[in-house]
Amino acid sequence: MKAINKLIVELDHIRKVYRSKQTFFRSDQKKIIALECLSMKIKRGEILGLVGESGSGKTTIGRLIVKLENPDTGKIYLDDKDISLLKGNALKNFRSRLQMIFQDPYQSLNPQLSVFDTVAEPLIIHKIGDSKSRQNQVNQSLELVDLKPPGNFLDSYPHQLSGGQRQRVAIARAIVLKPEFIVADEPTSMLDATVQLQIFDILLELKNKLNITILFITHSITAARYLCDRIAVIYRGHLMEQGPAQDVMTNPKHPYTKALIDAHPKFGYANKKQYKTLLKTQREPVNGECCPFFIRCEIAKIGVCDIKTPELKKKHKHHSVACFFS
Amino acid sequence: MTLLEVKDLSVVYQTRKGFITALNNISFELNRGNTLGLVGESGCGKSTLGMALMRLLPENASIIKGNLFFENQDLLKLTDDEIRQIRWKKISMIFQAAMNALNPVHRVADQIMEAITTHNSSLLREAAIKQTEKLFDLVNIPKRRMTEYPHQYSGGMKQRAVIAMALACRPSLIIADEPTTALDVILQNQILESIKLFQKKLNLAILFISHDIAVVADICHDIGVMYAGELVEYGDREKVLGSQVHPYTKTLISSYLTLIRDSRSLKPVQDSTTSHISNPDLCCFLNYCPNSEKICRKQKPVWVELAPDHRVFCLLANKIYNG
Repeated sequence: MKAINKLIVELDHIRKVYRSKQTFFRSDQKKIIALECLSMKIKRGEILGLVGESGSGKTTIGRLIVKLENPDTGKIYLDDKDISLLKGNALKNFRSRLQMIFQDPYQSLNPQLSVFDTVAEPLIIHKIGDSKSRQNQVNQSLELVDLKPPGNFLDSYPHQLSGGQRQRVAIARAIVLKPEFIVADEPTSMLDATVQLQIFDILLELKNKLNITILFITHSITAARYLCDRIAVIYRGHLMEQGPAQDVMTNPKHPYTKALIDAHPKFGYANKKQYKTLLKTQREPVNGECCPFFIRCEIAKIGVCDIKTPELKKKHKHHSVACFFS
Repeated sequence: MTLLEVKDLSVVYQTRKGFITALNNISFELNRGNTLGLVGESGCGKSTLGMALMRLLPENASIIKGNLFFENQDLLKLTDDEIRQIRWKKISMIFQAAMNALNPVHRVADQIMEAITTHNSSLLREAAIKQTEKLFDLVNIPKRRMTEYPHQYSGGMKQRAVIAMALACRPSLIIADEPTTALDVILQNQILESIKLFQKKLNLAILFISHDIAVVADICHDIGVMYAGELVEYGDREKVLGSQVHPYTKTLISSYLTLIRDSRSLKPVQDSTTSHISNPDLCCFLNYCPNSEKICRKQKPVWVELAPDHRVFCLLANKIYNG
């Protein structure tokens, strides 16, 4: 139990702003705040679900953690080491410990590389093993993602594979280096419901067998419910609610989480809305400090929610919420 | 009253590897003011069906068999000019990728007006503008945004603009091909609500194509389940979802994740595309069917009518239905 409580990644007051390009004709720079003062902790060996709508900044978090981008302010720690200081060999070593699975298996695989070349590429880059042991490692990771027997797939090219098989190759590529941490950025949003379950089962197996920590980024609250140990709900770059998956789903505290659950199609039965926390028509946006969800929130009160940003507060043992009225 | 009747429709694609059957003997009816949901995995032919109804199939596809009756005339026998009179005026379509369905260099209102004036050339400009305003009202986009360009719209608004365009000529049938697939849940919910609303208002028939059975269950009166180019179960929503007779329907429903965590025990099926079928004379789901018996390997399934508005394409339908 001790091992599972140890932190692997910690985000400390991260802020990330994207700026539009300045051109000769346009000198005004547009700023888009992707993340605002976001702090988060990820424990070793867990699957953390990051849930939010498009544009909420969830993909940005994933990219920051694997150091594809750098935060404007704030620090990210891997095993208590600040990753912004990494350079040279240390950086290369860092990259072998963290891997990413991308959203679109149709674009994330090189069409000119066979399955073997794709999966073996990380081994070659990190100079691990010789050609014989590489063959073994590739076979092993293909078997882990249920591409059996691996021999049937080694010489295939991506265009010969179905969407589900491609995504499994992408997962095999991510795990061949035996990383400690994987960022899975909407790995199933391009796939059918039936194939989606296969991918989830593979991710669960990785967690159980190899003790890999997974940050699972998704907009589907049910997928997060199925797969994750903990869920963090993010809205416009702010963390709104986080806690054990069970608690967040059965006892959501934040009006935005409730709206997400409401919006999910209730299978076959006329829309039974439980919570009704989403406004039909949005409020006028407020200049200056306010709750990020204010313009869409049914229960927001003027004079409270439009003058201050709520902070993330502990409600239960592990369950925390950023709302004045939760 | 029957608005659309599809009878034994078969479509093949010609490829370098020979012919691929995309649709095989599809038959169903759609009444005025009703919503029919077609659900199945990618590659099962549901979009091909939508395109066939609009007569917009690509060049390498051909309809080898069947009839498409719309308001009692056979769409397949019409000339190109005649079909152009029906297309968009009586049958319109909401396309899958709303982001790409709008022209980026024209104002949104102008594009919708173009749809109106093309099919009604005698209409004055003022009247066309009025009609466009009404459409914006209907799909809940503020009027002040009429003169904006598509890039100024959010994803949900673009999708609603595309819906407004589909409604522009007051069609009696709309084919909605995965209209909410690219959107997140909150937007999806809003779009579905607005589709339900204008359907009631305008007494529209909708053919709703989707791979998400929960969405189909939410919005449609009738459901058709497709697998590998064939319709395998068809009927009233409550009956199809309630009894889950066809093994494929059952797999499809059970692979859908609900908020209650009890689906862990369910095993997903393999991917399905038409190329997976080994023998066209047998059941298309045979290779992955958990219930298959000896008889399934001997003959093609037949339609079994379990109720007047519920039929299943499976030899074991009665057995499964009666437990």
